[in-house]
Amino acid sequence: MLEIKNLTKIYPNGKKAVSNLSMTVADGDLFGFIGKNGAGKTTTLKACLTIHDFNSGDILLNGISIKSAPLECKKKMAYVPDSPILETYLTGLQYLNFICDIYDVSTHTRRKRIYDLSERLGMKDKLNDLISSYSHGMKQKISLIGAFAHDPLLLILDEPFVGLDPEAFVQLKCMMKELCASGGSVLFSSHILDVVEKTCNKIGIIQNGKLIKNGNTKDILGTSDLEDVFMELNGE
Amino acid sequence: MKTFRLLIKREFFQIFKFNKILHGERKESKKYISVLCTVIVVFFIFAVYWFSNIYQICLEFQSQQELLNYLIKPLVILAVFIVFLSTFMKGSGVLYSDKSIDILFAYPIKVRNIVFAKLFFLYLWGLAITFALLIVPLIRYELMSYNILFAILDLVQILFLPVIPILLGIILGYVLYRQLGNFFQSGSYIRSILYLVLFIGFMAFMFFVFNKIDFDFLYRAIIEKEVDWNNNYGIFFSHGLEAIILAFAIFLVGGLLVAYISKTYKSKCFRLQVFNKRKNAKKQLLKKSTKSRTLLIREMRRYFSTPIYVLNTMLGIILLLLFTAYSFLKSDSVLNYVTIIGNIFGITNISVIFVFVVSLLIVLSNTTYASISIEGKHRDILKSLPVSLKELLLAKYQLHLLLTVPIICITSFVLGSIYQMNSIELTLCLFLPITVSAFVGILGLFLNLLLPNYEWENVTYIVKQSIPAISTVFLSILIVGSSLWCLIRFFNHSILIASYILGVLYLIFTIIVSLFLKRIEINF
Repeated sequence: MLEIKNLTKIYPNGKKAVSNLSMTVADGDLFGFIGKNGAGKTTTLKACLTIHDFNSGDILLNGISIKSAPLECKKKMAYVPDSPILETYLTGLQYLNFICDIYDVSTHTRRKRIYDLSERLGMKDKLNDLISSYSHGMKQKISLIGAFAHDPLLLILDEPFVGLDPEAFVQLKCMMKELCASGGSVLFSSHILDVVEKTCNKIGIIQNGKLIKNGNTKDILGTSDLEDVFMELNGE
Repeated sequence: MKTFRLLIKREFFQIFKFNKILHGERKESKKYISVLCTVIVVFFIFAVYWFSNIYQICLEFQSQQELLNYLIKPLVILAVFIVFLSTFMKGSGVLYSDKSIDILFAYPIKVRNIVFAKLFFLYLWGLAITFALLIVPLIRYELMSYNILFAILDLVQILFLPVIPILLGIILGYVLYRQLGNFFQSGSYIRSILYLVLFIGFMAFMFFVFNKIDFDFLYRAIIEKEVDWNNNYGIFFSHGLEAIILAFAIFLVGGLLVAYISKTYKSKCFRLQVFNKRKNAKKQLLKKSTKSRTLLIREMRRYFSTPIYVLNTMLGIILLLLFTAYSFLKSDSVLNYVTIIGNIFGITNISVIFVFVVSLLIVLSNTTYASISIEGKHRDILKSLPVSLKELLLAKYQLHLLLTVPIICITSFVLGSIYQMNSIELTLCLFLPITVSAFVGILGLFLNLLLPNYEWENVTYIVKQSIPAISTVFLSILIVGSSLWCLIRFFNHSILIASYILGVLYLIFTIIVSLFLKRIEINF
């Protein structure tokens, strides 16, 4: 379970990116995090992994503070950024091997998972090629394979569907649901409201660094669709 | 014309990055201004030194013809060569490696305007080199003749001079540098090895052959050939029909080359973007490794895949290997020089001088001063992984030691056997250079963590021109050089024991600096 308590992040130039944000992602939750550009989604996600420090508040993973035991928490988490920035001098397989070594995945487990995941995302024949030769979508797929390969408790994804082909798009949704069904949780940000509405059991809407709506998808939507709710909340 | 001006403005902002000063973050802007000011000051000092020296040389020539044959025309050849070489190495990159070229092609702009805008800056670069070399001798030459029309004609010839070398440099640079480079890009480290071999070859030439070259004879031979050619076919700085022929020929050939470059520009840009898939790629295995080993392997793979990183950090190792090879081949000659140095400074145990040479040379090989900045945009991903900064820094430090320590051991044993060092001297030959290497490695790590730059676009900048790179090299040479100098100056009679104590001090300094790393880890 991820608990974000009164998170505040102010950048050095004085901009308050996140203001007193509190939310919970329980085990089994598929949490959709939506907001306009510059609302604070990426800052919140990065703060959960200590990529950014935060000014006040705390973030706990299964009761352990990410500030006091960052490595312990990160061992159970995985992150895929919006732009896949990978080591271009490595092949796909070398990169995945590296990730599995970092997360201490056994040889047998990594072989099985990497080949299964690469088959599902259509990357099986590309693993021996250099990452520098990959398209944006292929880099995104390799990032996702790396994230799922060590079976994390919490998966944090920033706009994961960007650049994916339709087949990979569908597969990713299935993989996210499978992770949640096995007791893990997924927190992802997206601008594709349709996917968030149909896939997530919980939604959080952020605006100007503040969480303006948070809860079960059914409760938030009521009789409307997410698009109407979002536009109404953003005053349009 | 409007589009051309817009493209020129775009190129200008792309090359000089003035937007960082005008619109960037205050901290970034200040850093850029200070770097720019430093470059301008250094350039100004160098320019004053160069122009004053060339002026003094000009004054040595009493007649116009002498000045023309013995200074101006050789400088023309030199200018043509430098312009050609610089555009061969970099010009093709400026033209063909624009990351947002696809966007430009999508706009309603003629391809030739894009090409002209890029060629314009390359032409300005070529013109700057030509003027830097020729302006002072040319002014002196024109003042000797007092003919304004001839002066204008000569100036026009100077303006035309860089055109053909630039265009040829671009075309050949594309073929030999970019296309072959692309071929080697398939991840096998061949490109780095190739550069390294070329670099070793160059250094070996400088070490073993350069001092045997009779430059006086070479200069006279070039001048004789040039004067002879000039008498039969001379057109440079002539003021008759030949000048018109020259201008016309340059115009025609230049026009054809520009037309060729414009015509093939789009296809060449595309070809560079598409990487050839490796045929029969070696099947790789999934194998578990420890975290520390996998981080080290990552560092090694990145290091050997980045030719500029390898080239700039291998200098000390290459010099050390060449020195050892030279000592092996000409041991008596080296011993004579070392004995003379020993006599001058009153050092009785001359084996220590070899230890100092190894220590000084190894300082020039340091991979750590760019190892933090080189993470660049990977920093976020690394921070999301369960990897502590300590583990990451350790991997970078290990790479540095893995490159330098085996070389120190090999060269020390070879030098030890050539010059019959006893066990104490041999141990010192291992101990002092290793502790020096350990110290400069940690110093580089410290300075890079203190002043990192993660926003680089070209790795060349952080490896060659960044503040941590320059300050690490400078401080390493200063600290190690002055400490060895102190030993020679004040402890020449008990230099062996003093050197051991210095080694212990370097070890202590290494530990102290490593403790300070924790205080600045926030910079990562």
